[in-house]
Amino acid sequence: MPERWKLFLPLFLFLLALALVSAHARAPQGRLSSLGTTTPLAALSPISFGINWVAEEVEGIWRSYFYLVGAREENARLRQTLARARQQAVEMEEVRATNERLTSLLSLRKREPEGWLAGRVLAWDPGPWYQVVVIDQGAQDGVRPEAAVVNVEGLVGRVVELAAHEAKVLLITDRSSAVDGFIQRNQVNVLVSGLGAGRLGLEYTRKGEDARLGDLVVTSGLDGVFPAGRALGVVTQVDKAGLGLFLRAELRPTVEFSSLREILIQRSKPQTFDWTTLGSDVRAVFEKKNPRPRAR
Amino acid sequence: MALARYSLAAPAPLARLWPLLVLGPVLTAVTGFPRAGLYLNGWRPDWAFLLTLFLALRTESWLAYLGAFVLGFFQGYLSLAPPGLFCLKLALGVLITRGLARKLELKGFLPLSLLALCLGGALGLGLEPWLLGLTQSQPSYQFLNEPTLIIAARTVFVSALGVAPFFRLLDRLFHPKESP
Repeated sequence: MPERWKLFLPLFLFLLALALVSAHARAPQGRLSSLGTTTPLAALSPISFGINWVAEEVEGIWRSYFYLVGAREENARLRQTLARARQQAVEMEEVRATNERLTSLLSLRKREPEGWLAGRVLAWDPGPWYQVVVIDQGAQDGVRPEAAVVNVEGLVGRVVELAAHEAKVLLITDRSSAVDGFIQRNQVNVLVSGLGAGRLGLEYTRKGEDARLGDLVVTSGLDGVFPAGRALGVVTQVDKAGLGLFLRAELRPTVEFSSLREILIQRSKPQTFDWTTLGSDVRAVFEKKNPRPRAR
Repeated sequence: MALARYSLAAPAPLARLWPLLVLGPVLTAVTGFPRAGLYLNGWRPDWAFLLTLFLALRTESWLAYLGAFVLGFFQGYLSLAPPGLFCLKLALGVLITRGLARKLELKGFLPLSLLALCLGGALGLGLEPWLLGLTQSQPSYQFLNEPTLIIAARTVFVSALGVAPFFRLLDRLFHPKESP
């Protein structure tokens, strides 16, 4: 390589790096910025797919041949569990039918059936600064930006970057993440924000509000991003002693993020609860029982 | 000592070093594998940083900068950090490493590990959160809460410990005849 090029190459690369950083800071969804984010995502996802495939094959061999020790006892136990679960399913079906009847009586709008897309976690951000996972579903699979991501345990996060067949999901525990929620016991409206390192906290909750240890916090759906009624976390710490208007509280997420594998991605945008569609008499009864959440 | 020969006087041709630029992204992807995150729990080396250090000491400057750019570009693969930010960080790593190596005539295992520790600390715990704070329009102290600092410090520490065996392995892989 000519000496002149050797001199200019570091300078050129330095300026290119600066341009990429600057483009992302000005317009995170811009063309140049997207080139910098989606190109490595698309280029490296086959490696992640490969690693996952090898790991699953090894796991499959382990489960097929070595893990069968004690399978008979486990089988008997699982049959009993299944019988109980069947009975519960019958009971739940009855509860669901009753709920549907009551909902239609209250003239609440029947929700559209929400489409969910199943996916798997391909990789974690190994760095300490962000709580991000890469999943194996992307724009061409029907994932939209800002789509909510859940699993059976509760709310996981939302889609923040999209490639063709991969996407990055910002977990609710990230410091730049916030979710509108309710304390399930008393319907107090709260804002749940990430504290990093797998922790959640309550923001802007007045000291006078009734938040107790063990309270379950669920999504309200009022933010228009996340579906309502998904578990967020359990209150593990409440501090009302310090200065300021708001209490300090920490939550333990209901989702076990360290073993997060299978997830569901919401296809359509969730409908927000529309107070104006309620009749005045129904609204009065509803508001008496459930105080209207504060406007943000 | 295996690392006694490390100095700027041993450049390697590009043809022998290109696998390094593949190895960096692959190692980053492996570190991001879901189970790895569970088992390592923050105790993991920063592969891109280690490879950049190796490039900075073992190659000509233009190749070291090119390597830093490619590795930095792919280091952002799993992160939400702006593309180019890790390139800047690693390019500064090359600049400082080469400057110090020239100034101190760096040789031997202990000075190298200390350099990795100091450099990793300065870049990983100082420059990186500051740049992130700057580009995300958020105060950098938000990135510096206690748990993340502990995890970042572990990364720096493990990276410094990994210098000797990692460099020796790379030398055996890519410079079999020159390896001491």
